Order: sequence, then structure tokens, then C-alpha cells
Amino acid sequence: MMDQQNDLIAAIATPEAVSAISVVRLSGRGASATVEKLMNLEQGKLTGRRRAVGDFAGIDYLVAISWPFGNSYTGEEMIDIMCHGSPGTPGRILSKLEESGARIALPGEFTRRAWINGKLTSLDVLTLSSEYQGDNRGDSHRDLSKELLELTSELEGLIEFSEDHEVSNENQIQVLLKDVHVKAEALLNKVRRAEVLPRVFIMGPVNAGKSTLFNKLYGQETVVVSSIPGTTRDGISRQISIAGRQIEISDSAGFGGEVLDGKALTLLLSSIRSGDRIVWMDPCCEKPANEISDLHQVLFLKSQADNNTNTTNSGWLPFSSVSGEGMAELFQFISATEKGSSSWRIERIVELIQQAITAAKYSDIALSAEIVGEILFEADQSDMSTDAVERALERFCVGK
Amino acid sequence: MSEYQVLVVGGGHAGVEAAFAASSLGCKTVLITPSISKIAFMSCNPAIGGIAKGTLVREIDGLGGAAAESADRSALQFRMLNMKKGPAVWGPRAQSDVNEYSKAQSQKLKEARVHVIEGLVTRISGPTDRVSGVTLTDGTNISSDAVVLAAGTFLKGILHRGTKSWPGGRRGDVSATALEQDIRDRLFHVKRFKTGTSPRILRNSIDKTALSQQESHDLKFRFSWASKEMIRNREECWLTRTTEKTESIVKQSLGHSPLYSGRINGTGPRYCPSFEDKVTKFPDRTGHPIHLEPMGLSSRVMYLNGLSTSLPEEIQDRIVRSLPGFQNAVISAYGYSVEYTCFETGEFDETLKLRASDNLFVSGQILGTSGYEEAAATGLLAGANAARKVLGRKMVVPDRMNSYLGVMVNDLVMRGTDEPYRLFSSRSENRLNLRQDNADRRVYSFALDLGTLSKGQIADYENRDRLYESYKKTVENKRIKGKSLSDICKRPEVSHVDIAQKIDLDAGDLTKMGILETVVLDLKYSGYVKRAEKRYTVRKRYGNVSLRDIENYSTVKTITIEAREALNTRKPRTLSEAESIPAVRQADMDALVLYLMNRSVSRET
Ligand SMILES: Cc1cc2nc3c(=O)[nH]c(=O)nc-3n(C[C@H](O)[C@H](O)[C@H](O)COP(=O)(O)OP(=O)(O)OC[C@H]3O[C@@H](n4cnc5c(N)ncnc54)[C@H](O)[C@@H]3O)c2cc1C
Repeated sequence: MMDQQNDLIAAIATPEAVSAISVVRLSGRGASATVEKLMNLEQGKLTGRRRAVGDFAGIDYLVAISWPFGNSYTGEEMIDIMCHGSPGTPGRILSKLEESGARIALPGEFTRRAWINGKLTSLDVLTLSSEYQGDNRGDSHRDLSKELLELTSELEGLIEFSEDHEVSNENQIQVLLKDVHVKAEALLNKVRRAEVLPRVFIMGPVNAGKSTLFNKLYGQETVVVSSIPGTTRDGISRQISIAGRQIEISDSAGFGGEVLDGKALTLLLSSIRSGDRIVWMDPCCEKPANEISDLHQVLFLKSQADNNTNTTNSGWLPFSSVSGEGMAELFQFISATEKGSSSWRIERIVELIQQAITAAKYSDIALSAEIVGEILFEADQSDMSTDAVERALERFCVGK
Repeated sequence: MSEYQVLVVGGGHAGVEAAFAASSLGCKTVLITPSISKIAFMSCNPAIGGIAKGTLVREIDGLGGAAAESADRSALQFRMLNMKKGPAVWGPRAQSDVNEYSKAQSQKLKEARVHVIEGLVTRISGPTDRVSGVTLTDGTNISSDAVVLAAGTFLKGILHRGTKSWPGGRRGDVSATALEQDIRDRLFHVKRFKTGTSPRILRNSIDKTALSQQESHDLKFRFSWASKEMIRNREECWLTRTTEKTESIVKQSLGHSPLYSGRINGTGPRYCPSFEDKVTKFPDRTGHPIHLEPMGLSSRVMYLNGLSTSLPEEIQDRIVRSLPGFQNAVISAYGYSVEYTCFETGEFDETLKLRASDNLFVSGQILGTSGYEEAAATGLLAGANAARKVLGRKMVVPDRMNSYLGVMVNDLVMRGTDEPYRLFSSRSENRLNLRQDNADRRVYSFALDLGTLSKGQIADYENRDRLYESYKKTVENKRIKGKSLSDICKRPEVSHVDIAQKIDLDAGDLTKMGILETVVLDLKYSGYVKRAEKRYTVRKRYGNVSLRDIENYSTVKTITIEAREALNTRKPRTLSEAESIPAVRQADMDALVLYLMNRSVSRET
């Protein structure tokens, strides 16, 4: 991905349907020059909005809108070509661009570039992703950021100038703080929905005690958040929360123990992400004769340890769902799944806003402002779970 | 052999501190200024302190400077600004007796055995890279190993009122025209700034019954740990508000204003705006607050804070008389504005030495700052560094995470300023720590680096530090109903007064109470401060990668021309400093990193 970071990409950005307008988007180095050439314009002449002529003339009545480097959605040179939304027309434009050297964009590639170029924050991408899934409830991260910035300027105005100029007052601040709180909670829900959770697969031969463990995790020590349809063949998945972290557990009962059929195994292995964990249970301490043994994120449990006379092989943890032996170690293993998940960050934001409200209530506006500064920092941390963003981007369509 | 080791040009707020600090380091020091009676004269409002500025005054005290004690001695009335905004932004502010303050600072100079000469400097002598002294109007040459410039608003100062303008450094003082020319002849980059002041009113011409009295605070406060007495409220201040009539007079008269008729070219401060600016920027607002402050104890003259204007005299009369209680007011001195020359960002480094010279320093208003406190603090730094240079010691730079002085100097050098720079608490990344109560603790280690503290001051500090540590231990160890006292401190409703009761501290002992307050606030904010420091380092992820090897950025073709120019003038020492320059964008930073990497690779092979 890195080596082709700003090569020229193009895609139809609107749905294929009869509509008033369709848009073909072009972004990357040389975007302007390419379109200028097609339009028989001198180099540098395509600025702002312009009727597209030249090679395009035969296609339709077209308008090209050009954004300069640094100022577009993607942050690159970018051009939107608008045409009538009749079937075929956008496609013809796209072919012209392809002939001129543009590559068809991958799904979400425009947004990825916007993110890489600092035009969108990680949270922006996540919320866009959930909106794109048809989830328009609540407010987006951009609204929250905007509100936070407004709050900052009110707070700073109150601190620096209210003695001389009476620019802000405390009531205003309280109202703004509460507003931000509501927005942050809405955002939290939204990101929670958008986020792909780290998963824990419980695997092993038949009767190794997988379902007992699964039910134990799902039923008692943990809080049930929601239930999601099976993600492994015939298996069941549940969303649970351990030590404040959202995790998806899967009982892969359907794989039927040691004889995993090749296809299912390949499928499963290819879907395992770096943040996922596998718990392999076997009372007899036999390692599976497949690639799972080589994965580093596996915990081997010698199950039914409470009534099991087999010797414990090295690298295996004696475990019993009944007596609770090994449970603490298991919890630790599970909750060590991928750090920095986005909803975890936003939970922190919600908590911080609560603190800011309290500080303001006790007339510590400076503390309130400090906390809001901290929130803004949290909200645009660039190291925020790039994995989550990559996954969210996968859900985007071509042209977004 | 030079006659002096350090020579200071200008006896304003910066010059006095510079001379005082140089002398504290043991240098034979001379201060040259046109009039001894106007030493540390307050050209504008008769007050010291304010938000962030008051904290800075306490830092000056912690650094062994003079201003804090003089501010205490000359105080007429005290207010703690921002009392309801949190201890981190409390702004101690004292109304001052202008003459008493000037006398107190002169006394300080005398005690420090600074030699004061009355005269106007016309030229710096010797080549710029190694100056050798100065020349006065009458041709006298005075030689010195280092020179500190502190000429304030006087460098080719031009005063404006209405359609009139005339040369002058401030009302009643001559402009330093020859010195300004010498600075230009030495090819320093300079810029023109402007600032303005309000009319002064005869006290007995005002009807006080129409005004409201401003509340003063009896907090038993002092700026300096050395002051034996706390500030007492000896004078009253008053508050009035402009009327619709006031605003309409100003609006109709803007054509007469030198600010708006285009005759002043200098850039004025956005945050201390003239009244003309206020009505232009907030055309719908009426009832702007105007504070009436005495120029001295029982002074016949009052200062009109908030009504800075340079409109013609007859219009100023009409404006003033439109205020409630001012129907018969008599103006004793009209408001005016001053336009002056100061150094361009990039000319000086963080030691406040001019880059083009080995021994020529700058401080105060000519750095591009505004305000007495800002001037005094930079004066102290420039004077101490000049002395260190002369004594062959390493010059030092304050840290922006530990003091407002550090924030200001770093901002001035690395970010630059295109209007007179004034301190705000929000300029700091570490505001919860940069409080007025702990100023001495924050700057102590820097004070030792500077070498400005006397043995007595060090001993006093160490006594306070011992108390601090012992209270801290008590608070950390004591438990009340199973809860540790340090956890109780962190509750938002708990203050040091509550804690004093719990550890049986005598609330009447102001020194001890002050120290306990710092212990409690440090505990309250410690988590936030730690995170702020961490954020600061994350933001400064480029860290201390040195840029010293890059002599000329014009050869770095991958960065924008704008960034190249900025980097060439600012000459940042490290990547993180480069990052803080506004003209240097993220893409330039990436390009710069690549450039450095490629260079080191090609060197290795
Ligand atoms: C009209 C006016 C309005 C102002 N308004 C504001 C305001 O609104 N807000 C604010 O914060 N500040 C304001 N100030 C600025 C405030 O006075 C300064 O910030 C502060 O005094 C700067 O201190 P300084 O030591 O740098 O210079 P100054 O206090 O100006 O002192 C400079 C000293 O140097 C001497 N000097 C100059 N040239 C020479 C020479 N060649 N040889 C010998 N001596 C020389 C002068 O005589 C003077 O004593 C105003 C000043 C003026 C004049």
C-alpha cells in the first residue's frame, strides 16, 4: 500500500442508477494534469469549477471541479467530474481516465488517503463507517470535536477575559459541558457498533469441556452485552465484557474436534487477526496436528483438571471450569487482547467529560479546561488503533 | 579593560531587572537612562500583576529579581482575579502608587550597587559581533564587556493623537532616534509595533455617587516571600460603563483616529485593544466596563482603564463626559498611542542574546512583548545571561514546562509574534502546574543555574522547602477514618484550610499556610500534571534530534519555500522546535526527517 500512496486513482462515487447527477472522482498526483490534457487545457488552467470539453465533449454535458493539493477530501490533488446519472455515462468517463493512466480505486481508498493525509482522524473514519452501514443515530465524531473546540474557546475566554470584557459566563459553560457529554455518549455507542471486537475462539476435541467453559464465561463471571449471529460454522458467538473490555467469544463446537475439515480450518485461520486469541482445550494435553499449534496467540488448557489423572505436559495449564483452577490465568490471557480499542478510548472520553463537569461545578474552570484539552488530545491521537481503522475501511464501497 | 562588565541601556522595567540581576552575579554594572526620576516608570496603567502576569511576578521573586518586593511596597489595593476559576489561574493584581514603585526599584538598584548614569545612548560602539560599549548624546564613550538593550517604546518612538503626531518615547520623553538608526545600520531586522494609553482624569472632577466601588480583596497576599508586610488596601477603585452615547461618538469619529485613518503602520495588540478597536469589533455591544484607578496614594489623577484612545483631544473630552458621573470631568492628560521599533523574531535566541553578536543582549518591549511584568522577567534573564557570558559561564535557558518565563521566551523565539506579545495562562501546556502559589518551587533549580540568588535567599528557600516536605509527609501518612489525607485532598470541595484543621496547623501563620496550600494543590493536580507532561512529550515526538548540521535550508528542496524561509530565519536547534514553527507543516516535517535519514545513510557509506 505504502509504495503506491499517491498514485492516480479513480472511481464512480455515486450509486449506479438513473439519477440527476453522477460523480466520478479522481485523486492523486497528476490528477489536474490528466484532466487538463483530456480537456485540451493548458497546464494549470483547471482551477475551481469548469465545463469539461475536449475529449469529454462526446460523452455528456460535464462539469469538472478541482481541489488543490492539501485542500481536498483526500488531501491530494482531486477532481470530481459531474455528469448526468444515466447508465453508462459515468463508466465512459472512468474508461477515459483509465486510458490516461488512472487506476480503479479499491473500496474505501479515497477515505484511506484522507486519513493518511490527516484530513480525517481515526474516529472520523470509524463514525463514517458506521454511518455508511446505515447507522445514523447519534452524532459523529466531527460534531463532538467541533463542540469540544467551541467549549475550549468559551473556557479560555472565561479564564483570560471575563474580568475585563465579560465574554463568557459559568452557566454557558455548564450547558456546553452537558451537551458535550450527551454527544460523547452517543459517539461511544456509535463506535461500539462500528468496531470489530477482538475475538476469543474456544477450540479442542469433542467433550474437552468447551461448551462448559463457554457457558461459564457467558453466564456468570461476565456481563452479557449482546448476542450476535454465528460467525464460525455452526458455532455460537457472544459479546462479553471482561475487565471493562469488550470481547467476542466463539464456541467453535461445529469444527468437531480433531478432525477439522481442511476447508473450514483454512477459512478459520485466514479470518484470525492479530488481536484474536485461541483457547485450545484438551484433557489429554495433545497438541492439535494442524497449524494452530504454530500460532503464538494460543493458550493450551489441560481441561477437567479436577478429575483427570493425566500428566500435565509442559506448556499446558491445568484448568477446571468446576473448581476454578486456572481461571485467573485464563482471564488474564483473554483480557490481554489487543489494547487501544476505540470504544475503550471513547469510554475514557466520556469519563473525562464527567470529571470536567464536576470541576466546573466546584468553580475550577482551569481544571475543567485542562480536562477538555486532554479529551481533544485523546480524540485525535493518531496512534489510535490503526487496526480498527483498517477494518472499518474494509467496509467502505468503491468510490468512498 | 572596560569600565564596566555589564552596561544596560534604558531604566524601564526590563532595564532595572537586567542591571539588578547582572549585579547579583557580581558584575560591575551600569544603567544608562535619561531620567533617574523615571526609573521603572509605569507608562500606562498603575498596576502590577493580573492573570499569568501576577504569577510571572512571583517567578521573578523566585529568581531573585526586584519587582515583586517593590510591587508589595507600593501596592494601594489588591485583587485576586479569577477567584472563581480555579487556583491554577488565580491572578494576583496590585494597584500601584506609580511614584512609590519607581522609588522602590531605584532603592533596589542602589542596594545592588548598580551605577546609574543619566543620559541618552545614541550609538553602540564596536563591531556588532563584539560590541565594546556605547556613546551618549554629549559624545561620552562608556566601555563595557557586554551590553543589554532595554529601550522600551522609545526606539524611533512616534506619538499619535488625532491628526497630530510627534516624536517621543512616551508622553514627556524624547524618542531614541539615533540609537534606532544605529540598530538599522547594523542590519538587524526590525518591525514597527504600536500601543496606546487612556486619558487621565482629575479626581475631584468626578461625581463618585454615580459610580460603583470596585470590590477589593483582603487576602493577606504578598508577591514576594521577602516582604515583611502583607498588601493592605489603602485606596479605592471605581467602576463605570460606557453608554450608547460613548460608542456613537467614537463610531462617528473613527476618521480622526490615527489608527483608522492609516497613519499608524505599526501592529497593535489584539488583546489590549484601543476603544476604537472595541467599538469596531463589537459594534452591537454597549456598556463596556471602565475602571477608574488612582495613579498614587491620594493622587489628584485617576487612570481610566479600558478607554485607551488616540482620538483628537476635543473628541476625548466628549467621550469622557458621556460616561455616568463624568459630566464635568477634566482630563489632565489625553490618551495617545505610540509607534516604535522592535526586533524581528529570529534576531535573538532563548538566552536573549542577539544571534549576530557575542555580547549584545535584548529585553523588554523591544523583544516584541508588552507589559511591565513581561519586560521585567525578560530583563532579569537577559541581564543574568549577559553577566554569565562576561564571567565565562554557560548561558542558560528557562524551560517552558516549568515557568511562564520559559513559555514566553520559547514562544518569542520559536513561534515569533506579529503583535505585541502578552502572557496568557493558555499559552502554557502545563497550566495546572504554573500557579502563583508554587512559583518559587518551580523556578528554584533554574534560579540556581542563573546564579542570581543570594545566600540568604537560598537559605530562606530551603527552610520553606523543608516545611513543604514535612507537610507533604504528614498529609501522605495521616489517615482519617481509614482514608488517607492525600486522597481527601483530591476531593474537589476540599481546600488547604480544611487540611490545616486536620493536621493542627495554625491558620494565622501565613507562610506556613501558603506552603500547605502548595502541598494540597500539588496533590490535587499531580495526575493531570503528569499526563500533561506526557502529552507534551508525545507532541514533541521528534524530540531532540539536532538540526545544527543544516546550515542552509534552501538546499532542502523537498520542503516548501515558505518553510525553508522560516527555518532559515528561526534556525531551530531540534526537530521539535522546527515543528512548533507555524510555517512548517506536517509534510515539511516528514520531508525533513527523510532528508536527515538520507543524509546520515549517505554519510555512513
Ligand atoms: C502609550 C503607552 C501605552 C502602553 N499601553 C500598554 C498596554 O496597554 N498594556 C501593556 O501591557 N503595556 C502597555 N504599555 C507598555 C508598557 O509601558 C511597557 O510594556 C513596559 O513599560 C515595557 O518595559 P520596558 O522596560 O521594555 O520599556 P519602558 O518601560 O518603555 O522603558 C524604557 C526605558 O528606556 C529608556 N531609554 C530608551 N531609549 C534609551 C536610550 N537610547 N538611552 C538611554 N535610555 C533609553 C527610556 O527612557 C525608558 O526609561 C504602554 C506603553 C506606552 C508608552
